[in-house]
Amino acid sequence: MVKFLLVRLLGTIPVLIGVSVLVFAMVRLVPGDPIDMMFTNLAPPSPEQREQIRKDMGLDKPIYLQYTSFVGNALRGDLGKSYRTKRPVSEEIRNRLPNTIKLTIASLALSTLIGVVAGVMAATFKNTWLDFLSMLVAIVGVSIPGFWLGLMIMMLFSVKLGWFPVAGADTWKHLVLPTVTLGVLASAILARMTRSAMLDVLNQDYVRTARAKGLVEWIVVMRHAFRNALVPIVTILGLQIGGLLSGAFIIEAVFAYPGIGMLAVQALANRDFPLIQGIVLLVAVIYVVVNLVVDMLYSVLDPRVRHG
Amino acid sequence: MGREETPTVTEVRESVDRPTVQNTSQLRVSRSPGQLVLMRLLRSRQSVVGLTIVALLILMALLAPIIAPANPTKQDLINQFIAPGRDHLFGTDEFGRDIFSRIIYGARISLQVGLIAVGIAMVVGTLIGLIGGYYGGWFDMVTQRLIEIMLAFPGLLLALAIIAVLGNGIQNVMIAVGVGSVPSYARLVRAQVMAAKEKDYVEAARAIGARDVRLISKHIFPEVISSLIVLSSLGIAGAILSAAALSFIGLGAQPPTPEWGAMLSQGRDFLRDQWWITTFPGIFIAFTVLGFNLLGDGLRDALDPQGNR
Repeated sequence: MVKFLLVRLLGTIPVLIGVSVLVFAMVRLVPGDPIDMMFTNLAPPSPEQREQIRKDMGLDKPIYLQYTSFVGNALRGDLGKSYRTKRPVSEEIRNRLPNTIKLTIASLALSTLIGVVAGVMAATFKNTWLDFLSMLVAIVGVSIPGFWLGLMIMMLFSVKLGWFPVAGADTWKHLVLPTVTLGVLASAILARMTRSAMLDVLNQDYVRTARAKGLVEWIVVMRHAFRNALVPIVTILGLQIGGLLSGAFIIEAVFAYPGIGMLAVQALANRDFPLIQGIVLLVAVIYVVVNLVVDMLYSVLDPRVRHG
Repeated sequence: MGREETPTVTEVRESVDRPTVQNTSQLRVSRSPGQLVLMRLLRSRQSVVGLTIVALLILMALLAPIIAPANPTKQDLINQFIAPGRDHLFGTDEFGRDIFSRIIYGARISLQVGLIAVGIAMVVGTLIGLIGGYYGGWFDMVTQRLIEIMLAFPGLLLALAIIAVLGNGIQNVMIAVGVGSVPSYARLVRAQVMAAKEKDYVEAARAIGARDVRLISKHIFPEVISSLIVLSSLGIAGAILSAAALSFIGLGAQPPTPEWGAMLSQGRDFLRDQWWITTFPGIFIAFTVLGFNLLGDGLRDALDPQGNR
């Protein structure tokens, strides 16, 4: 067990290094001088100023030194300064991150509730109208663009009915519509996965045995089948968090919800590279860590994995 | 795929009745495997719906200049914000452009994006998977590590980062979405190649002196094709959705291009009174994606009848 965890933990190190190289390279690959980008809407700097900035930013050093200082700074929480606001990127992110975390957790909870219940029901009542209906809703849910669903929900509940605010994140009411949008969409995938995981398990011999010895059907479903279907479902949850985090980029923009997603969209529009870099790096690291945790959970749920 | 005519019921029934008799030489002469798949596909209501949607969409894109009642980019400021009605089926936008015509032309863009993005992902991913899976070694090592790194960026994040570097525009969106989907294809192909190369018939072909290129192209690659077809149908759906989302946040198609995601984005300011500007492009994105998803699901069932779903 310890060995499995250790190997898995060490395995993330090269991935994180790779991620940092890619994110570092991002800005260097952009055609043009980064200093020009800082002055997009301002008067161009004089050659002396230019030289000074180059020195301040360490752009005069060899590329590998630039990389090591980038990583060193990032580890200390210093991600540079926004071209636009001139404030530290870490501060910008820290102001917005709690909102995104709230949104991600709320929609994860909602999607898990809807998705797992719908999937278990569909599998238990396979080939009935209930199964048909939930899978129809699921495939439609996978196909609907999130930003459009968000706009439609907003049009109905904020604009027409006035039940919820149109934009912002000051009260819990601001959280409701983005959560519903993200949660409903994510539940569609989860429902499909849960259904097929449950169907695999429900065909197993021990389920038949459980039924044969006269157990009530819901005990068979919940205690014998669902417990074992959890492994694939938990794996999907890890992916879900990634999907929700990146889905939040678009949905936050729809609802003008001030999380890191909206921050990223603004940063992309302004070509504010330190900010883009910081957000991309942060989300990737969060995602790698979440998947690490999921893998560990995995081995708790399924003892076979530890020896695999 | 050379399917010139729909098989008659008797033909199919014959081929269904004696599947065990078929050997490889027969498979090559008769068209029955293709017919079988088509037959299974047509038997499922979901796939028929998917196939119909996709076919209608392709027709719409091909015949756009004939069907569209107006020029999709021509502004007509006197007729702005006309509600859907007889003159303008889906109404007009803030520049007086006919939304119905814009949607018809938009089908061209969406299909193009889907095909090109998936094309990039499929070609690059398949090559990586074939070479890496067959030879292993350093190439496999390096590409697999790269893929792990790419997979550390969830969902659209990698595409966003690529667009940040390349700049905005629909071409760059196609590249970004395509590159972002390379890992799924590479992993799928690699896993199947590794399974296929251990099979007896591949061993036999090697024993009679077949070279690597021949082994890969004639014996191993065909094993992968059916999964690739399924993945690319679902992939087109995903690519269209991603590209629309990227255009929605302003990174993709730029005005006045009639791209559905960008049209939707333009309509955001008029949600209260001009609902049609956002509603119709969204419905078309959803139907297009639904069509490819249903088709992909149907193809999976048709190509793998043993699957238990």
